[in-house]
Amino acid sequence: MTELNDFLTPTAFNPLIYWVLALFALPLLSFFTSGLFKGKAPVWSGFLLAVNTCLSVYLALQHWGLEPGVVIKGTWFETGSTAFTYSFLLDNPALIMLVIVNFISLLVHIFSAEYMRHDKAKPRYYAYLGLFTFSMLGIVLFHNLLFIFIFWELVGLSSYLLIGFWFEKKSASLAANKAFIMNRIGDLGFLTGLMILYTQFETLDLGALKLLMGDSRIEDGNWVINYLKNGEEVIHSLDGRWLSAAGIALFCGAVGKSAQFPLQVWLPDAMEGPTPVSALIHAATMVAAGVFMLSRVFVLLDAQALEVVAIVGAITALMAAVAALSQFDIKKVLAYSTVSQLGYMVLAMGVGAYDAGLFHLFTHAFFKAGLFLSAGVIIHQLHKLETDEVKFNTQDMRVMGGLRTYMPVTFFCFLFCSLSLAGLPAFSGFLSKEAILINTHAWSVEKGGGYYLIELMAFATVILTAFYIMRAVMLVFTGKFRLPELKGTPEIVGKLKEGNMTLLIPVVILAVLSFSFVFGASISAEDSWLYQSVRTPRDTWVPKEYIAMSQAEMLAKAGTHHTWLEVLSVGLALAGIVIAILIYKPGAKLAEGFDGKREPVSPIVQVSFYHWYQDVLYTKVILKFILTQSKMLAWFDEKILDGCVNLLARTQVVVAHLTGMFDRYIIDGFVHLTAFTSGKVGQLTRSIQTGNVQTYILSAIAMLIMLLLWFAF
Amino acid sequence: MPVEHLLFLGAVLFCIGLFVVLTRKNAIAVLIGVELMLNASNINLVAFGHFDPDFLQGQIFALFVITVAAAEAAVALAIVVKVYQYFQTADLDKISELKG
Amino acid sequence: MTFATIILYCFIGLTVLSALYIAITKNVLYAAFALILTFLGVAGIFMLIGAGFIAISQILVYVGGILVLIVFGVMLTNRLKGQQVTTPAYNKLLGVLVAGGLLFIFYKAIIEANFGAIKWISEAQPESAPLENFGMKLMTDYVLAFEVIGVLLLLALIGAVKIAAGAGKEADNAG
Repeated sequence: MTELNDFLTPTAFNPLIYWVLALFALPLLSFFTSGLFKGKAPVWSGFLLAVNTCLSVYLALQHWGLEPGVVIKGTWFETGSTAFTYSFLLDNPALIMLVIVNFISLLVHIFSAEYMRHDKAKPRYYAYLGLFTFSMLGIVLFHNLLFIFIFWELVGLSSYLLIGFWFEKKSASLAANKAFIMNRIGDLGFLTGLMILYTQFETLDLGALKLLMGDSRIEDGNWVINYLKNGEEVIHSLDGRWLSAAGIALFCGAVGKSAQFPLQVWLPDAMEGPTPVSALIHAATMVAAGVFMLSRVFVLLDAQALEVVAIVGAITALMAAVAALSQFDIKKVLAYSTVSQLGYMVLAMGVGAYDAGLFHLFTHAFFKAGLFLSAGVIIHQLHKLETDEVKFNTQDMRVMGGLRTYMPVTFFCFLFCSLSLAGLPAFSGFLSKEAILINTHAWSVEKGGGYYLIELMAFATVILTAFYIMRAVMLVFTGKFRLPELKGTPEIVGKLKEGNMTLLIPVVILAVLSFSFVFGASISAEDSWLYQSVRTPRDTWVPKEYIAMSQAEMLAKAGTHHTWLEVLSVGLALAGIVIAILIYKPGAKLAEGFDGKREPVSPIVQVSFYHWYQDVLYTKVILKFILTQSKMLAWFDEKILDGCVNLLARTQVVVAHLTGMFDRYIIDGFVHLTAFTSGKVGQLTRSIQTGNVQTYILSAIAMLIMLLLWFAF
Repeated sequence: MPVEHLLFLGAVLFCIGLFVVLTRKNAIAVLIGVELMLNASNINLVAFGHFDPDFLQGQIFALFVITVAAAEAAVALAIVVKVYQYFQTADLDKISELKG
Repeated sequence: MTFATIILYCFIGLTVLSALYIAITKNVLYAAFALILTFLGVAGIFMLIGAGFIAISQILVYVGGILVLIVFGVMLTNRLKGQQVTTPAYNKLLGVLVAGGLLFIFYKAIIEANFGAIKWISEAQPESAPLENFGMKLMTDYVLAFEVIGVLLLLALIGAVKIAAGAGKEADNAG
């Protein structure tokens, strides 16, 4: 039997803790001090982040490949006999995330130096970036669900602050609210999951949870665990369904943060924030935190929970991909694309492909950040064309077109990242997406029946992805520049220039990182060093009865279909690209006739444009329902409850009046009588106190005489 | 000469002094009354001391009374002067801070 | 009845009469001068009943010291502008009643006590005590009380000076 306290005893002192604390301290320092540097804030914060990146790279090289990672554990505080512990785990996924978060954050810091050059609130912006990096590192490094939750909330906060960075814009503050509220809904689930786990195991340390989960078993449909606590045996028993519930509840957190169905509506709105922020938070790192968290609790999820995860992931991937098809706003396209890719990652987790999910998370971080930053370059350069007379939406793809000739570097970067997203061989997206598709196929084959639908959705998403991203490329970079015609100002064509080095360097770096050779020479994901470094946990700790399918078994099945699956997916991607090129090629009717259209006319396209009317559903149905209900409750409150209260109050007032009269005339009468009597007596006796000493002596002697007379006679 | 006669003298002086103290409005007149009363007591002391030539308790006590009376007079007059400066009167009727 | 006794009674009469005058007169200054007579009468009585030292002290302290003080007090507390310094009397009836009552009680008490019958008084041989005897007693048996009374007097005088000095300053300020 396991002794609970064994898990909670602090580890021996490890100098590594200083490195970890330094990693936390630098972004936090940036958060607190960038306000002091005013105009120099980008330099200062960028410097701190650069140091932090170096630190994390050094740490990653030092501790790379150590299985099962370095654990640092300590006691946070104790209340009574309950000790709350903290723990850090530095294993391969954490180290990779560490580097990615710091590295992309650094690139975004550099990029923002130019992008935010004319913003007055620059120090605030950099402070928020520092806070975000700090909180993100917390999620990555801590290995205790309580701490992960705390930093999870901090990440949500910094996301809120950054989405609403231009809070004077109504839409920005609304988007920030929406993101925060949607995240709260998810976090409620997360918290519920924590409570279930704590009820059962009395600890939230992930290492301990894993071992205890392995010790737990299913007896008569009850989820039972017995362990020793301070030498005494403790038995906790819950209904078996709580095991699934815990997994699903934890997944709810990821649903909120990683923008999964049905809470994904906040992510497209989050594009109201500055574009570099979108790149960092709403594409590369924060939204990936949900997936990362899933990977942390992966072994705690039972078969049912994983199934839910897979289904939600597939639905999200498909829905978002469809929504991305018809958007005109370049950032919206990328946002839906992000949601779709996150769906892929979650799907991967759901089908048990832990390694594929994480791998896609890593590759996606680079190429999606690259896409966003490229879009940022375009937006920034277009913004420079804006004058007081000529106003236009700088994110609208309908005013772009033919930008390839003006901004060649940006074009190539965007193209490479797009191809990576589409999943063509030689690009990183291909590797990770293949891995996910193969695992999904194996899972569907194993499950059979309706589960093929999931696989179908995954493959449908491939062609849609290729289509929408190629559509964006065609609309933005090919054909002729539509803005001068729209606005009737041909002279502004010459003003459009390529972005400067500060903008381009981060973009180029990210574009290079979206090539597959960075992650391995082979075109097969299995040969990639990154993929190999995050192997799926072989042992699963969930009780046997609730276990998901064994990985080894699954991969064996998947292996047989390996080649044709790859061919199929590449074929689909190419098909999507070709269709997009054909439809939106320069001179094609559709592409040309775009200018005047404000929104699509065909109902099918409208479904896509309005993202399946999910927002409308939320506002019209759920919000309305709640409002109606609130109104009814308010009416009930006002008329019935308040009526009762008022009646009671009136009765009391009447009674009070009666008591008041009794008080006034009877009780007060007595009091007044007493006072009056005392007053009279006082006045009487007062006259004796003449203030004349002689009178006092007189009366004293008179009394003395009387006394003597009394005694004498 | 019987001792009673002297005692009567003391009693009469004391009562006159008391009367003066009780009826006069002027603080100094009151002080005069007090001096009379002190003298009355001295008479009594010396009258009894007359029969006690060995120990002289009465006379010595009378001496002390005289000393105390001197001290009292000095202090009392100082106070009266002070009071007069404060109230601009030595009329006890008008000095009635103790009036309730 | 010896000559000394007659003189004694004369002194008694002087004392009582001058005391009565104090009680009757409204003029404070007259009362002060009548008080001199009273003190002198009392001093004479002391002298005649063999308390010479007390008699001398009486004249020195009362007539020489206290009365001068009183007269000064009268002058300081009254603006002398020609008119007489008078003091109205009040509570006269009550005063007479109380004083008379007290006198009655004293009278009854003295009569009832019958001091002449007390043994040590009746057996005593009244004689004039020699002055050195008085001095010896003062410096031996009653030395502590003597010292204490000296200190008391000193304190009272210092206090009186302090109070009066402060008053004079205030008067200056007021003036």
